[in-house]
Amino acid sequence: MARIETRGLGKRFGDVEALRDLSLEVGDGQIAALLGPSGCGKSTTLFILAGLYQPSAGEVLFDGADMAGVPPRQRNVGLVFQSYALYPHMTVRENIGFPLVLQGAARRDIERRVADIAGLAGLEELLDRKPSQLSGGQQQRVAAARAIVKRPRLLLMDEPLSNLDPELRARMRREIKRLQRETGITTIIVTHDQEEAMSLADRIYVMQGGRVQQGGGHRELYERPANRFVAGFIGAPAMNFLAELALVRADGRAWLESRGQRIMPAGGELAGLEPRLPGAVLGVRPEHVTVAMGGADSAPAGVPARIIDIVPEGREVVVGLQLDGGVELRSIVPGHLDLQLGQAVGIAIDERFVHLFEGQGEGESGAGAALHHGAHGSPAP
Amino acid sequence: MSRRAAPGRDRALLVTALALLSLPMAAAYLWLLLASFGRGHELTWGIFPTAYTTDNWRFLWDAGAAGRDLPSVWLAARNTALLALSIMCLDVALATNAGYVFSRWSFRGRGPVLAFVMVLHAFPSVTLLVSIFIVLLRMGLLGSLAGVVLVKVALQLPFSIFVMKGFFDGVPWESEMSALVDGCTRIGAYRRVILPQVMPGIAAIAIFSFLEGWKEFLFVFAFTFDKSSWTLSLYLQSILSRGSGAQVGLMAAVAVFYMVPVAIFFVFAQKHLTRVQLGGVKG
Repeated sequence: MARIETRGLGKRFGDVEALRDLSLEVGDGQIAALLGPSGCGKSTTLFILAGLYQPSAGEVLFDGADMAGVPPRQRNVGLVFQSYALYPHMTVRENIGFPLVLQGAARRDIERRVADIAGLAGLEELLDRKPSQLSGGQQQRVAAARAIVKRPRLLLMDEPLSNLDPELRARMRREIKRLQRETGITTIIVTHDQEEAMSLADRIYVMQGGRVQQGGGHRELYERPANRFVAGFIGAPAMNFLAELALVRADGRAWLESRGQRIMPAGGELAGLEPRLPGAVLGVRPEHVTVAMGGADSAPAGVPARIIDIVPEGREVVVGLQLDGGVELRSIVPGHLDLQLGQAVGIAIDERFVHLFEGQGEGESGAGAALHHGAHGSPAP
Repeated sequence: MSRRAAPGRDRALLVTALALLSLPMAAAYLWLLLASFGRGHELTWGIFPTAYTTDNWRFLWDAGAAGRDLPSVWLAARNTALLALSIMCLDVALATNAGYVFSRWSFRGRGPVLAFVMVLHAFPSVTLLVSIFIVLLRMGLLGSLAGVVLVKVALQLPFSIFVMKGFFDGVPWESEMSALVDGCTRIGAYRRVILPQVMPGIAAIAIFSFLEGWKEFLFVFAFTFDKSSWTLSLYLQSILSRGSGAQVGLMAAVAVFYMVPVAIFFVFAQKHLTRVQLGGVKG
């Protein structure tokens, strides 16, 4: 069990900078997830932690000890590859026992520990099979067993659930959590699936472009995203973004406009943000965009819009809406409502839940920083 | 990838066609085998001798039976076996390690070296005969089979290296990485995890280089001068070149003797040649 820390980690491959100034911390016995789209550098980070790659800059610390120059076999880490990387010429038993054989453990000891781990992972029946005779889920469990049989200080998993079909995924998620709880090994998981990250990890580091965009628990990432990238990445369906903002006064009230289209009434808080509006982007999650239907002969309340898209998801429906000026938004409504394409509705955005971001770029380093979060997140800075 | 069983009629057609194509070859081998026990030159249907004897095989226990100037056939057999095995071992040892390096290491000039190696393979060995003779002379290796081994290995290596590189390319990086994380040194990973996965490749080049050694005639003929270095190829050639004094039965018997070990070898090795293993990595 170990506390893992990186400070200012950087990695170059030729001209390509895969990692830049990456700093993270995972406490002893915790599970952390590195979450981000393909190519964001998360697997590179994993391999640096394992000692397979040497960093171009920065440090890796296990319990405060600098791991520079320490080869993988001396770090006592377990690594589960996305492809499992089982040894095809060895049986399951031999695969799992391999790390112990390399440690020079006594044969009886090896047999016992392999049997224990196999029991823990539900592999007892499969011990004499070869990897090619196993299903995907079974191969994954063998890979995990092999990684933890030597009681490593750190367990690393690269996209552990992405090769599995959905129902197996849910089961394996529970298995992994249970295994981690029972063994208490510090674990770092790499994934592009936010659901996977949210359900497995205590702490999530959202990565993009070789950098950590934000690290924190699920609530923090969801309610107070540090920049536009995190805001758009976390949460499905994704947050709505409205640009070209301006505050307009008419009929004695203040309104917020996007691209010349009236979006919502601006209360005190939004009005107070007026100086920062130029170039900024408004973010609001679909669940905070409410849709009102008209009565028998009355127009619906709120800003007028038309339904342009309907995506049923069982319990809820995701509707695409278009305002008169062309601005598009998504909203989530209960599944039992009667909706039609082209239907005229009224939308209302809850001012308490809007976010404001700097306008420049998307996911570039430092760009799109959050300027304001709605009241439920925290007091405005 | 699954193979669909050919429907009945197509299958029968296929088998018939293959049978017809292999008929001449099968007939030739059959004639050879029978001729080794045949007496005289008369044949029924062009294949079956009219009279039989075991006289042709006397050379196995009576050294002078094949000819007064010939060495013992067992000496020749021993030399052939030693030559073939030496070539096989040296070729496998060098090509495997070279293939690994070409597959895993990026070094300056890697591309050109690889291309150069392939070009070497294109040279017909006959054209190099004189130059190799001079090289061996200067190295003091003329007159011994050791020189022949070195030459054969050198000419066989380009092909073997290319085959091994291909097999190593087929082993994913993650296999090696996993071994390192599990506790191997780089060499340990090579020995315990990578090599077992390229066994089919090693088997393939071992078989090819063994056969190259077994059938070699030209270099043994050109670079050795003593009858004690003779291989079966020279032994057979000596009998064949007697012109009018040639005894068909004896020639056939020696040829069969030359062929039998290889035939047996193939029966056992066929299992390995046709099996290619891909398991261990998902998908």
